[in-house]
Amino acid sequence: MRSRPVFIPLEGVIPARPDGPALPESLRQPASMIVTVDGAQRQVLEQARTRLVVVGALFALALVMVAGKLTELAVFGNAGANSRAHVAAAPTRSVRADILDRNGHVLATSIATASLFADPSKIANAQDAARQLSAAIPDLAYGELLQKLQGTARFVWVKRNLSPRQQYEVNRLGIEGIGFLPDERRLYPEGSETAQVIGYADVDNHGIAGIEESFDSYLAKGTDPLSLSIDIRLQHMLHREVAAQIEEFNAVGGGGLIMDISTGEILAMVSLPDFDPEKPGAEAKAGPDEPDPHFNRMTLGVYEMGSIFKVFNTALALDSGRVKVTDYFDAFHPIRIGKYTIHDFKGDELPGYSSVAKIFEISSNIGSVQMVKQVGPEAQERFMDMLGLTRKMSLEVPEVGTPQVPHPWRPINMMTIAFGHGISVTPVQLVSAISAIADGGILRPATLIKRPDGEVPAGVRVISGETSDTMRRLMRLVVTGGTAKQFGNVPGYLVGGKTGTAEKVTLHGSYAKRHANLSSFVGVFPMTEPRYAVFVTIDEPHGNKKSAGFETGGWVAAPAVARVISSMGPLLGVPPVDADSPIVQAKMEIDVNPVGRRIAPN
Amino acid sequence: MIRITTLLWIVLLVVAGGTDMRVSYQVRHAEKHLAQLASDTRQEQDAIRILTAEWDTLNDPQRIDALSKRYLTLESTPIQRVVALDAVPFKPTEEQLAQLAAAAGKNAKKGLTTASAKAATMTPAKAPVPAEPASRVVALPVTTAAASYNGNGGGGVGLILTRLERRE
Repeated sequence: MRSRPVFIPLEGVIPARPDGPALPESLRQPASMIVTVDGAQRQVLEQARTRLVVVGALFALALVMVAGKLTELAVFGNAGANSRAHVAAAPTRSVRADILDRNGHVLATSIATASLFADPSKIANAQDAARQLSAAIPDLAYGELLQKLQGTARFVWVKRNLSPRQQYEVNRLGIEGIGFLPDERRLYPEGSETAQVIGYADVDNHGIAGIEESFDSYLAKGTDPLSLSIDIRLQHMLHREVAAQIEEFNAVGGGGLIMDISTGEILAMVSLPDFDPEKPGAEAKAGPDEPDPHFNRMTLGVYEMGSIFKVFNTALALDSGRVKVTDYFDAFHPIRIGKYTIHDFKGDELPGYSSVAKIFEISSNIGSVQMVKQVGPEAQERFMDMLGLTRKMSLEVPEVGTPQVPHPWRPINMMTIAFGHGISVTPVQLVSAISAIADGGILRPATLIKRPDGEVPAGVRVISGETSDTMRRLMRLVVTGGTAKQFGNVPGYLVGGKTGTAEKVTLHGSYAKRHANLSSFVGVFPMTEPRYAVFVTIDEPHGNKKSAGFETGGWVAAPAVARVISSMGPLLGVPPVDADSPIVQAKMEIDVNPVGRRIAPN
Repeated sequence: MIRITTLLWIVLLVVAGGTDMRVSYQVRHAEKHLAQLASDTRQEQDAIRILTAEWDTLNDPQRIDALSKRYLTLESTPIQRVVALDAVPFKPTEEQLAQLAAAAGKNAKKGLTTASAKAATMTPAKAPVPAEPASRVVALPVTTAAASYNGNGGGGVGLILTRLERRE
C-alpha cells in the first residue's frame, strides 16, 4: 500500500499511515485522483491547506453565530427588536398632559394644531397669496401679511395654531411656498376662574406660572393627566360670590379658599382680579395703584389677618392651662404701651370684666391682650411656629409668600399679635391653622393635588382635643350671637367661624391714613364635626347703604361665605343638622356668663 | 450531469425566493396599512382631544350658571329639603291607616283638623336627627341647565374652536 495524504477538514493534513489498519473501502479513492508532490512544492501546498483550514474555521464560526442568533430570535424572542417595532407602530402624538379637577373635569388641555409658515422666495405672487390668505383667515391683516411675504427671509410664521377648519381652508387655496408644521395649543376651558391656581403656558408650551410651572417637566412628558384637589363646581361658586362682594362693596380685590379639613386638600382657590390664561398679557395693570391680576393673594400675598387670629390666641391661652374658659378679664380699660393705645372697635366696648367666651364673641382686642399676657411672648412664638404661621409653607405652586414675623418677638409684638396685627401670613396658612384648631387639634399640610380616596395625611397635634372642642363652641358662638350673627349663619348647617377686619399697612409700613381695611371671615361647617372650611377676604371694601356703612368682616365677607356654604352643602351631600336638637345643643353649648375667677391686669 | 439533489436545491431556492418576495410584499402592504391606521388613530385622538375640550367648555359651571339664570326659573335646592333617609317615616300599614281614619273621625268631632291629626300620628314626635352624619342621604339632584338647553343663543358646537380662532 502506498503512502498518501488524507485531507480531513479541521484537523489538518495527516500523513497516511503506512502501518495502520486499512482505511474503510468508502474512503479509498481511485489512484488516478490522488496527486502527490514532494519537496518544495509539497511544502507550498501544505501551507495553502493550512490557510484554507483557518479560513474554513472562521466561516464555520460565523455560521454558528448566525445560527445561534437565529435560534435566539426564533425561540426566545428579543426584547430589543420588539420594542423598536412597537415604537414604529405607536400612533399617539405626544402633547402636553392635561390638568384635571378632582372629578376629572378638564382644567387645561392641549390640542394638536397646525402652524402656517411661508418661504417667501418660493411664492410666485406675494400679493395674490396675501389676498387669498387674509380672506381665508380673517385675523390676518393684508398689509402685514404682504410685508412678510415680500421679505427676504427663507422662513416666516404666517400664523401659529390654526384650527382644523382653517387648515382645510388654506390647503384648498393651493398656494405654493407655504406649509404647515404640527404644533399644539394649550386651552383652558374654565378661562379666568382657575387662572390663579393653574397658571399658564407660553406659546412654546413651557409652564410659566402656577401648577403649569411647578409641574412643567411632568406635564411636558405628556403621559398621565394631573389631578388637582380643586373641585370646579365649588371654584365657580366661590368665584361668583367673591366677585359679587367686590362689586357690591366697590373693593379693589378679594379672594377665597375652600379646604377639606380632614385631608388638607384645597377644593377651591380664588384671587381677584384675575386674568385670562389664554391671553395672559392682555390684562396688564391699568395703573400703578391697580392690583396685579397675576398676583395670587391666597398663596403669595401675606396679610395681617386681624381678629381671625383671636382663634389662635384663645386656643393658646386655653391650651396652656393658665386660662380657663370660665375666667374673666378686664376688657374695658384700654391698654397703653409706649406711645400706642390698644382699644376696641367703637360701639363694641365691653363693660368691665368679661368672660373668655364674651371676649371672643364680641372680638375684644383688650380682652385678648389680657389673655395672652397670662402665657407670654415665648409661648406665643412657639405656638405660632407650631401652627406653621412663621415659616414659608410648602405648596405645589411656585408663588408662595414668606410670612412676616417680628424679630425679636417682644411683649408689644405679643400684644398686637393677640388680635392679629404685627404678623402677616398667607391665607392658605391661615385656613390650614384654623382647620387644625377646629378638627380636634391636628394640623395637616395643605395641598393642591388630589389625594387618593380615603387617604388622610399624617398630622401634627397642636392643641388638645378638649381645647379644640371648646374652640368649636366658641366659633359657633360668633355666628349665633357674635360679630357674624347677621350673615354668617346658614340654617341647616352649623356654621362656626371668626371675623377679621384688619387695617391695611401701606408700603411704608405704617397703617394707612385713608380708610383701607382687609375684611375677612373664615367659616367652618358643620361645627359638630367639621368637614369644610370656607374663607373669604375682601380688600378695601367701602361700606354702603345696605351694610349701614359697615365694612367689617361680618358684614362684607360673612355673607359670601354663607352663600357659598348654602350652595356647596347640598352639592357635596353634607347632611343637614337640626340646630335645635338636644344632642347638637349639648355639643355647641357655651356659657358666656359662667361662674369663674377674675384675673386682674398685671 | 444534473443530479437529483442539485435539482432539488434549485427548486428549493426558487420556492424560497418566491416566498421571500411574497412575504416582502405582504410586509410592505402591512406597513402601509399600519401607517394609515396610525395616521387615522392620530387624527381620531386629535379629534377626541378637541371634543373633550369642547365638552368641558360647554360644561363650564360659569356658562351653565349664566344659561340657567337666563332660561330657567329653577333655583338650587335649599338645604331644608335635604333630609336623611332615616328621618323619612315608613308608609303606614293598613291597620295604621284604619287607626288613623278612626282617630281622624274622633278628632274631627273634637274640632281638630284632620291634617294636623294625621301629621301628629304619622310623623314621630320629632324627626330624629342623627348625631352621626347619616350614611344614606337623599340629595335632590342639583338642576343643571344643560339638559334643557337646546342650543339657541350663543352656544352650540364649535365653541372651543371659535376661541382658538379668535384674534390673539
